[in-house]
Amino acid sequence: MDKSIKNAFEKITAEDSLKRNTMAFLKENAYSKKEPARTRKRSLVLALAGLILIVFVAGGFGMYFTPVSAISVDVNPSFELGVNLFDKVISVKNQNPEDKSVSVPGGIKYKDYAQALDTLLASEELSAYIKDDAVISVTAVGSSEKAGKQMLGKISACNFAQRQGAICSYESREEAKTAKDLGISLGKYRMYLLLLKLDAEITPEAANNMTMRELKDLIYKLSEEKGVEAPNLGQGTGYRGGK
Amino acid sequence: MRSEQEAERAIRLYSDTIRRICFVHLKNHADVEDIFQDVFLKYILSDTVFKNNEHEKAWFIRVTVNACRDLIKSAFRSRSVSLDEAINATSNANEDDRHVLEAVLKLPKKYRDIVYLHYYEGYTAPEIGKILNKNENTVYTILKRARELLKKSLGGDENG
Repeated sequence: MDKSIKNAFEKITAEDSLKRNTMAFLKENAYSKKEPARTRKRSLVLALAGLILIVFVAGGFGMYFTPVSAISVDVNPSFELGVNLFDKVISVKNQNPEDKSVSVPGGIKYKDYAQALDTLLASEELSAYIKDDAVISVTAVGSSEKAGKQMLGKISACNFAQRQGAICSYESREEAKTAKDLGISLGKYRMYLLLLKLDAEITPEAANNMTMRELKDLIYKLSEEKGVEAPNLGQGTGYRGGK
Repeated sequence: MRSEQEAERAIRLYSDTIRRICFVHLKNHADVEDIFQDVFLKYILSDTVFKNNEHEKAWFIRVTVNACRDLIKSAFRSRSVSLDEAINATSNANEDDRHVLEAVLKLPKKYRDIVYLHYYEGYTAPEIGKILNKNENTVYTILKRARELLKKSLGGDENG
């Protein structure tokens, strides 16, 4: 019986096709250049982590270069500074209606906006326009009223704000948009609104074509003519507006 | 991971053994293919260092028996064929061989591995106990009972 059992089992052999298929399976699933499933899973996790990192970095990058507030600087020429969430200046635009060739001073971008304002207003490019009696209007437009007030506090502590003729204020986004729609800088727009109370026929275009000094003088002149108290303009940080 | 050469050597050396173990458990060629893939994949991914060929062969036997048992228990296994089909498909056995194999396949499942390992591979009861992780006395008992059943089916001498 022992022998017959051994003989019977001897007849059972693995078919060549079975061996070939098994080896083919191993080649395809273990020896091919494709990574094994477990490694692929780990690679997938790493790839996802990398993707999240890229999205995070790209998101941070995008956030850094997105302006959330603006500062209008009016000396005639006028400039608009775009400020990001981190209080850094990320853009400087020349808004001078008469002379777009006034070059934008260097060393402004990527600075904290308070530093950037002092750098801008002390620059060679602007010093030619800032006479002793010049009016410098700096208007902050924050993402909210609270943010605008905070910006104003910081701007008012700047070196330039301590000089005679500096006007620091903040303005709402809605008013800033109106000024933009009228094609007038924010500092001049504020002057225009004051003038409008004294002279109903004044146009935004007329205001825009005047220098800040001229606008200030006209306000004082019309106030005197109409016998009303002139607004406090150009006395250090004495004038602060806002909505 | 073991090399392709090692995989080819193992397939050459142990395929028949694995096929016979499959034979006593499975009746379907697709299941046999599954077991072959599973066992040899485990082999090439295993970092077990074998002392010698006997040690390696015992590993293949143990892994194959366990793989067959797992497959039988698997809810996904729904393929089965008749006993005759199984014998026809897996051997070039003559009438006598077929009669013997049929008798082995009619044994209780838990007897079949032990019968194969003892009668074909020549393992002793203590060796089978080690390979299959069974108590030696249990193996003796199963062998005695299997022998009685096979004698009843096949007749023959008292040897073994």
